[in-house]
Amino acid sequence: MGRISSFGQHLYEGRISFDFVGRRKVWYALSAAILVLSCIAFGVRGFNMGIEFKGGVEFTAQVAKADPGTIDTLTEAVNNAGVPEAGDPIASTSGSDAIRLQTKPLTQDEAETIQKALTDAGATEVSQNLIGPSWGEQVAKKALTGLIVFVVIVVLFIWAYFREWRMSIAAIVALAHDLLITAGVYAWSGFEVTPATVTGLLTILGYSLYDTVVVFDKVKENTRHIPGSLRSTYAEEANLGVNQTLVRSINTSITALLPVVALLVVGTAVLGTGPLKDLALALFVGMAAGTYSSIFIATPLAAQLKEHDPVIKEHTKRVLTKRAKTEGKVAPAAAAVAPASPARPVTASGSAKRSQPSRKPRSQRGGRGR
Amino acid sequence: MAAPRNARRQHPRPGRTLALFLAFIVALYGLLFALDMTRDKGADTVWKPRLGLDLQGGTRITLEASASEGRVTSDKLSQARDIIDQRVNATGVSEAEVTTQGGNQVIIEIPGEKKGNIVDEVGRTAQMRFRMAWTTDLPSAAKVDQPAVDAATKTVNDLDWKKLTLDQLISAEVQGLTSLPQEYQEGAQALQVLAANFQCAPKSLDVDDVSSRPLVTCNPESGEVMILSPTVIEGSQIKKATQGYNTQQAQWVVQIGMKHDGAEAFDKVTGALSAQQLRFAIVLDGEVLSAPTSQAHITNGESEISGAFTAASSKALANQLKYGALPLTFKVNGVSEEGPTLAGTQLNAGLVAGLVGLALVIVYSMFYYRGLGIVIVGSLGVAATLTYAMVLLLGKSVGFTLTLPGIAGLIVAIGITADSFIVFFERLRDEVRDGKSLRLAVEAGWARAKNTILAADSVSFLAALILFIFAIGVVRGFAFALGLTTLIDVFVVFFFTKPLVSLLARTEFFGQGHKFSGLDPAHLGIEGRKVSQIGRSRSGADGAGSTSSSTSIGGGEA
Repeated sequence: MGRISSFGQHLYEGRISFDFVGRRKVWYALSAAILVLSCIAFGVRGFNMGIEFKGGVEFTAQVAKADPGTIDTLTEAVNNAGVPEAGDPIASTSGSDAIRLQTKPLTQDEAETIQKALTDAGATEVSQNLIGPSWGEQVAKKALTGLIVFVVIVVLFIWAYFREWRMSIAAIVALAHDLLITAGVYAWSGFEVTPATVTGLLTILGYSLYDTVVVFDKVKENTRHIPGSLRSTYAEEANLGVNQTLVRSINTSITALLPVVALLVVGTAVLGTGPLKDLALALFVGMAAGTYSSIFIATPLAAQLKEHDPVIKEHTKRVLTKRAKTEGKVAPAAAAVAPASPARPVTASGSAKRSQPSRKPRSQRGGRGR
Repeated sequence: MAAPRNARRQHPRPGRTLALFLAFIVALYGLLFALDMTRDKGADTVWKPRLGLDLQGGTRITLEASASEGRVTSDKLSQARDIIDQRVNATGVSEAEVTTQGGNQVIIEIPGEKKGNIVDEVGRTAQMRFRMAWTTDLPSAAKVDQPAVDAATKTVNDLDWKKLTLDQLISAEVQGLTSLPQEYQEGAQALQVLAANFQCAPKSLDVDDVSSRPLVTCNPESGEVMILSPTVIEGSQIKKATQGYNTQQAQWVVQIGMKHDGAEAFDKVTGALSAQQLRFAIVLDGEVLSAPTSQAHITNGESEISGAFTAASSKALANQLKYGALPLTFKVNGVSEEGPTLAGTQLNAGLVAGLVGLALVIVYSMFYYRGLGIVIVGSLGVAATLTYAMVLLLGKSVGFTLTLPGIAGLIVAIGITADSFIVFFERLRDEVRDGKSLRLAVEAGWARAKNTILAADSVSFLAALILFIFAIGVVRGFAFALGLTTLIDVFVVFFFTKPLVSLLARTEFFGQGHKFSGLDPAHLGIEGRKVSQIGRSRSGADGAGSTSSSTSIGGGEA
């Protein structure tokens, strides 16, 4: 434990620094590859849409013991019920004592005939879910409207909070990234897409941005002195921010994923395929992608966009010029303090030991600036 | 807890905040307790949340409306809801809830019962019609001769009543049924058989309301059975219907305005009926809504129905007249019937998943944050207590029901709630690493963490809100739960977690960085100094006697 914590301490001070911002091309390439794969999946495989999007009837029959034998008995009962539309239902077990059967769309009367047939075949209780063909479509349509409204509002919110439209763009790109990856996983794996999945996707919106906002907040705090100080460049400070919130990001992801995993495991074990599993699965994939994108996509992108800002551009140039001069003089000392520096392209060791008293008296004033 | 006393001058009195917060929770539970004590006899206890159909079993019917003319407006939809509500009640189902949703749907929820079979009955288009009251004031039958009814029904149904003109229909009332053409005499007798066998039960009238045929039915309120003519004016001809007060007669009335065709027919009908003070009937879904006596010849379609109305009953009738013939048709979009066993399994699965999730988070935070983990556990506990109280209160006040997706929302929220504490603790530890003493670090860390928490929670709440507004069906339960817990999270972290940490920072265990407090120097990676000290160890490493650190960029603000 202590090791993880000193790890946190080292990250905080910049003694250990992962180069998230500097190596952005690597992460972009990685994400681009995943996104291309996702898009291919949309085209080639498409989605396995659940019954809610096609219309049909789902029966859940409670039985003494759900096994292949019972499935056969019940399937046969449906086939012989005298409702041709219900022929050859898709049957699966749902937990240890229930069997789920899905048929094509039926009328309520036909559905009741099937219910009776199932009861006669030994089911102790039959639940039914008759879904009109437009139901799932409606859910999806509403979800799309919600998505658009949400994106617009969040762009405005982040812009207002950080006073920085570039961060809005970066956050939205990260969000789209998460949604596409989640959708891609669904397309590749063939997991069923149900309204619960759509709910999960919409929840990811909130979570992905939540995570991004926390990281951005630290970046904002770290870069407050720019362009006043020549200690470090915007990209370096942004990278420090990601590193400093890394422990939090890891902890958050773990605490957020633990309940979702519980939902996924319990949902699948007790209820089989169902809304709990669908929701938890979408959340699981989306949250994992969300944590990744806040660190590897959102912040590097925000830093990259920011570097196009003339003020920052100028500032970065000045920092680098100044550093080139000083580094020539103090190079031996720096190497002694931080021997690992060659491994770190973004001269993180420089930013780690930023507070050189001789440089900027102003930066020492009041320590925490409160 | 002696320490807080002298610190109060510099800090915002964490002890008092904490006490107020706890008092608030106690008050909340006191309120619930009072509600429970004063509840009606037989009503459900307050302590059990209102469960959705998926958790207690029942039937849920989703009807989708489409307008035959114009658009589906929320006004039309809510009137349709009222009518469907009446119909559901008329089928003898108790405790059904009928709500509108998503701008074009009506949801019927019937807890505890499998009642998918009422769907055809309640979903059909509302039909309001004006018919001549051929024979009135008949008594309700004591018993029914079913074979005779079946035979009579067949006779009536086999006749083509459409051939009769409006004048013939009117004269059948003015001069009696015998004035009908010869080929209809058999039908007229059959109608009398039907009337003699008609039982006027307040609920579930056994009528087949077809516009082109005569109808035997009754007014369920008065019990008066009538034989009615085929429709003379369709309800869609009603232009307006308003409640009014006739000052001359000092009574409540309902004023009706007809469209052109309706007004023309009404002119003829009232012209013939008013001379003898005969009656016509307004029928809604086969039930006689009102059978007024025609007292005047109405030529312009503007008429007034008077009777023993109260303000409320005249308004109700006006609404029924106005919207009874609603131009909305309903399509069945979903019928779900959940048996109690399945519902019970789902409830258990939700609860177990929640407990497991909570336990996992607790174990992890104890493992990582050690002593501070207790604060997380306490805060989560308090958040859970508040959430439970709010679920109960919202169930009472705005009818919030807990569904399976709702429980999932609560479970997912555990992570988001815990994250607020993590943001705070990481900030706090950063401050300690920066060289602040713990007591200062709590305040400084909080000053920064609270903005992050507010911003991040705002985004989360926004997502929940938008999900709630745009989602339909059970998804809304999920969004509601998520939004609720986000608010509770902010509330708890501000008024419980922060003051608690402030207080704990003054204790020896935390303040001195005990090995198990989660704040010991080794754990934080700042060996060589105590967390109670202003950090000098760091300054040594920095090579300057300064408390500023690598992140003391705050200095740049000035």
